[in-house]
Amino acid sequence: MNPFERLGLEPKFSIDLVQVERVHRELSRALHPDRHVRGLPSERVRALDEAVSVNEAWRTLRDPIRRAEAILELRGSGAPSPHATPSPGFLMAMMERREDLEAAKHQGITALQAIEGAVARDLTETLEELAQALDSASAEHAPARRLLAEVRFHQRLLDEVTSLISD
Amino acid sequence: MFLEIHDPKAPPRAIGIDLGTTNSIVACISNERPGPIADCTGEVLVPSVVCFDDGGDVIVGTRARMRAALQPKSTVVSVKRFIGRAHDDSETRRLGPYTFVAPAPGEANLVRFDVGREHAVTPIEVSAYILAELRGRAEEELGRIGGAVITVPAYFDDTQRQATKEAAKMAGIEVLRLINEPTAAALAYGLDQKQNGLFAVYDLGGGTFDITVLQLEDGVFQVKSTGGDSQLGGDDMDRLVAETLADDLSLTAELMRTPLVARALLTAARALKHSLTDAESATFVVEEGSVLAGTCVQITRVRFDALVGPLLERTGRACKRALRDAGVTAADLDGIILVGGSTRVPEVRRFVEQIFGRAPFTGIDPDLAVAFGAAIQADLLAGTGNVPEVLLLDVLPLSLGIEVGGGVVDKILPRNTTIPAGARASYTTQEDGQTGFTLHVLQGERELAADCRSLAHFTLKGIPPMAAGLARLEVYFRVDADGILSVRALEVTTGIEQIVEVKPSSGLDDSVVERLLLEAYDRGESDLMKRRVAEASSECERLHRAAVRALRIDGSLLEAGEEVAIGAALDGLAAASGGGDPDAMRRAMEDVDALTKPFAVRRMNRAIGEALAGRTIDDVDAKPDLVQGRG
Repeated sequence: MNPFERLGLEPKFSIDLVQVERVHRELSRALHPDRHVRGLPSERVRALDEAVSVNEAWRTLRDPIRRAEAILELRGSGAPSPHATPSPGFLMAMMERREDLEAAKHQGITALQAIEGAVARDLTETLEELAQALDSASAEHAPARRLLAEVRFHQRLLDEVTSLISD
Repeated sequence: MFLEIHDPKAPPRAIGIDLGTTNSIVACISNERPGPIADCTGEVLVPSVVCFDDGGDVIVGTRARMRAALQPKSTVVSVKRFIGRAHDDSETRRLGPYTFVAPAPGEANLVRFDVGREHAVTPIEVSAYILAELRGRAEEELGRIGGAVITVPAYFDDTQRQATKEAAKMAGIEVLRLINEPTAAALAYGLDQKQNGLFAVYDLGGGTFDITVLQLEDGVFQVKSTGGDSQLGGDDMDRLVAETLADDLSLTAELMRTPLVARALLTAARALKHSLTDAESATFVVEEGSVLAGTCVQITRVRFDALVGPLLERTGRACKRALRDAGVTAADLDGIILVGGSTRVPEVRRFVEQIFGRAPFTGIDPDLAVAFGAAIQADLLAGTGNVPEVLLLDVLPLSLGIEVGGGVVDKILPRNTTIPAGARASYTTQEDGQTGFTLHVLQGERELAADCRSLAHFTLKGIPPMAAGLARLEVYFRVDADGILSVRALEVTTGIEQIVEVKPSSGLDDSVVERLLLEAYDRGESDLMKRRVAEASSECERLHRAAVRALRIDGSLLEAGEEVAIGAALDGLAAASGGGDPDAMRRAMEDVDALTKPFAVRRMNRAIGEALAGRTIDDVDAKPDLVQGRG
């Protein structure tokens, strides 16, 4: 399934998320099984199929990592793209971040929040780079794959820090 | 009261049911407003209590509650805490008066109560008695019932939802939809306030706690996240108070476990809790029936608040997680909605205010909001057009996954995924020559399968031997709008496929369900055949209405010859419907289904096209009739 096509949107990384929500609402209004309870039996079956696929497409597009994966998959003739490895420099930086995190665990909430802020900034910056790499005219996919791998690292770390803070 | 005249040709009315831990309520829409259906004495709440008395009768509701103190073992109170739970679940080991029966070899691992009858009863059966009582009440008021929307705690897992549906089936109720209690409450409030915004629903009932964050925008209620604890509620407050009273009275642990004493203490605790809503301290004299009869017990609010503090802390953690999952903070909220009888406790209100930093709404009676929401949704689904069109988009409360190597769960659909939902995952063989895959389906947030709820095991067999890693198994999960899962597994290289409905493990096969229906639930309809005819006939009617409606709205989409063919099939359907032969009815329904299929496809394609173009189905519905002489 092409999630962009499903929601009637251009296959780009930078998309208008407000519009994504609006399209999802409109399609849900038309296709949700609740709207077809009084429909013909085959319509009810179809409505469920359609609502499931619309929700799947929406879930893919509103999440930057899944959205990037979907674009790469669309461009890579449908085959799942192999996960690229980040540069050694990036991996070194991540190791340092992890060491900082270990230390912060013993220093308390303020230290954790400082790390959370830093990781969130890294994530935002990398996402911006990824957007450029994916939406530029060049057909080169390697940089986008590398950036996507980096985004995954940042996101995982951010999730970890956030859950540490809220516990 | 006015006598309502029932039009025999009008479609039967749909009802909303709040099947609560402590009390249940049935409601419907009249004069465009939801209202509860009372019994002849004007009582709205049906205590969720079922007494299997010595004379062989089954008593439900207020009269059953009065028996609870005297017949604690054969009176089931708060059955909702047990529904969909395994016999060896922790719930069965807590303070309570029941005797449980272990499953016989080969029987499903389910809670079974020994109520002094030949057969032990399951929570599904007990719930069915409560539902049948509500159905009877609604039928007295409305005549024929056209299906029901039943509410479940948002945090109910797949097994608990399935069990609830099965109880309804047993009670002879057609379930239009299961909806989540907090969402139902929000619906009741939303229609009242007509306000867009972000809301949190804090729902503390008798046995369950739910927290739901949802957004109301342009008539769409979108749940952002949900969380909670399906074993936390007012009952736990009672239990803590009861244990404290036992300490005060220096009762031995053994004495506390005597059914009469346990029931007397829990009843006293409940009464004290209620008194503390308005008083700073309360006393209660234990009723007749046990060695404690006549004993005076007392508690202050300060002590009560300290006792329930840890319970509230648990709800607080769930609230924080739900906000985080929704990607919002408490400051983003436009309002807090309180639901559930336990939110009457002043300490609960204080706690909610502290967690969210604002005072909650309390406009609708917290006992009624859920049933009202269910009635609204039932009316929407029945399409009677009495309430404004809204749409509920709910979420999956707990992650669904498959056990992979090392007993780890691979999550296929994460919690808070909007339903209906689907997702697939691929796996491969681990050993050379492996000819079968065993799939273990699980629900829960923990990483290890052993810590999650096991929903089903099934095996895909007959795969030709291949080297490890060559076979490719695709597993497809689908969750419908009731939040119920089905699983499809396909081995891609050979095309071997298996579809599994994750069935409730009620341990009751259909013949047992039918026997129970005959024995207990049918009022006047003693003949099973009659019941089958009635069910098939109302299905025919529904199909007939659906087809006529579709032709009326989208007659322009018919192709040459279709109209005549469908018209003939509909005449056949109408004839079969009155003919009394359920098999003939099935055949007539199949004919109509087959003939309308291409037309239905065109209808759906048009609806999708219009939605993508920014129009909604409402506009389509609002169009004047395109075909004359129909409908």
